[in-house]
Amino acid sequence: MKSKLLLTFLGLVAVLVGLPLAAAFEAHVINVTARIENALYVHPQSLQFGTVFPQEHLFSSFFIAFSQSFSETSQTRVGTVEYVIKQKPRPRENMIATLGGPEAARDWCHLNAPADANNPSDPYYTNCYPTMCSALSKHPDNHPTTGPNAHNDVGLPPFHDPETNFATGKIVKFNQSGNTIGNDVSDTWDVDLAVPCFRGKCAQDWADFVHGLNPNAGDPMQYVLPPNLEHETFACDLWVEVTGIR
Amino acid sequence: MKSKVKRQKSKLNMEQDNKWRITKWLERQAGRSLSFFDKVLLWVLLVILIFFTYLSVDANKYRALVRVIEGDGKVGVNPTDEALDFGDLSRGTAAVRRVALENGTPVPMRVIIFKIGDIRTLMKVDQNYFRLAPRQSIKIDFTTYMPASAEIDKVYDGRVYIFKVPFL
Repeated sequence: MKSKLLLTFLGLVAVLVGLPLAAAFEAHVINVTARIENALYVHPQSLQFGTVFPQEHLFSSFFIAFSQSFSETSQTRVGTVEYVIKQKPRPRENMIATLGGPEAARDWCHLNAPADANNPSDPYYTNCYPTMCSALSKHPDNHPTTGPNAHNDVGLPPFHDPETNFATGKIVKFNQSGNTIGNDVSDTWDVDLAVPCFRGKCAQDWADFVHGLNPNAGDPMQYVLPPNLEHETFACDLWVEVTGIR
Repeated sequence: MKSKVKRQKSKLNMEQDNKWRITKWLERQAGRSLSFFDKVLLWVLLVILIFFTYLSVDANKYRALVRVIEGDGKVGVNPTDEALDFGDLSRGTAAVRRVALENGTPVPMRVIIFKIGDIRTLMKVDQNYFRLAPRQSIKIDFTTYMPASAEIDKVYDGRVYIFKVPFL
């Protein structure tokens, strides 16, 4: 009889202690929250330029639109998506695991740019591809040409600072008034590679080549590559990052 | 009068029988009466059961999906926050969705993430089984890469469960 009473008492104590704790959790007096962010990062397929020669100008493209799930008529909460196209140094495939996975590897390449680009023994070159991000341009499709969403994408010419300069775009499912007149449901971006030259091997018109593609490029010599990187594979990751929804 | 008292007594006995039906069933299975230790163990198991029920109810549950589209370098986006929707991806493209996790409690939490469904093989989580310190905020990246073998027009679907176990 005594043990039964003791057990019942223990049970009651457990319930009395547990209930307020559970209630506190649920009332968010003490809370742990998890929420999906609106931000979305998309990595377009590899654009392969193959073997290239200095001062060549090569063209490629990618296409961005709303997904099928977003395009459903019932989705009326968000009508506009704003995004930027960022350029990030690319880790070497065989070093990704060593550096702690794709994200950690990308961060490593981003934070450990070689102090001296001419030094081939810099650990950056062991872990990451030499970057060609500054030589990539992004040109918008300039569609639609009329209406409220005309020319709503801003491109970026080659020979820029990839850390601070980005192309920006906007896709519009429906306008603020709710109609779809002149909407812009997709963007096609032309990605061009203006191949830089190696120090000591640039043509005489190198400055004209740079300023012809980007009049605001500044000193053309800052885009000249170290000669020891000749015959290397260069790479750059392009990321479409959603920055805002409305 | 006597019969009324008798009826009330039998009703009480029945209630008593019902009340301890589980222990009686256990006693029948064990072939002996339950000891004090057995009963304590039963209570402990009950508390553990309630704890795990709480964890599963409290867990964040998200739908995760991605659709394969034809073509090269094509992506369709859906950045809304109702689901881990990676949108439409052509082969060779990838998308990242981010979940912000905040521990507003004074106790540490062990975060455990489970993925189920078709999408689990395509989706990678950048961190799992980690400890979230008190008052700490963290962002978890879910990356989906569309391989060359993906079936065009197929929707890879699944669910993601984020469990938060206190004091671990």
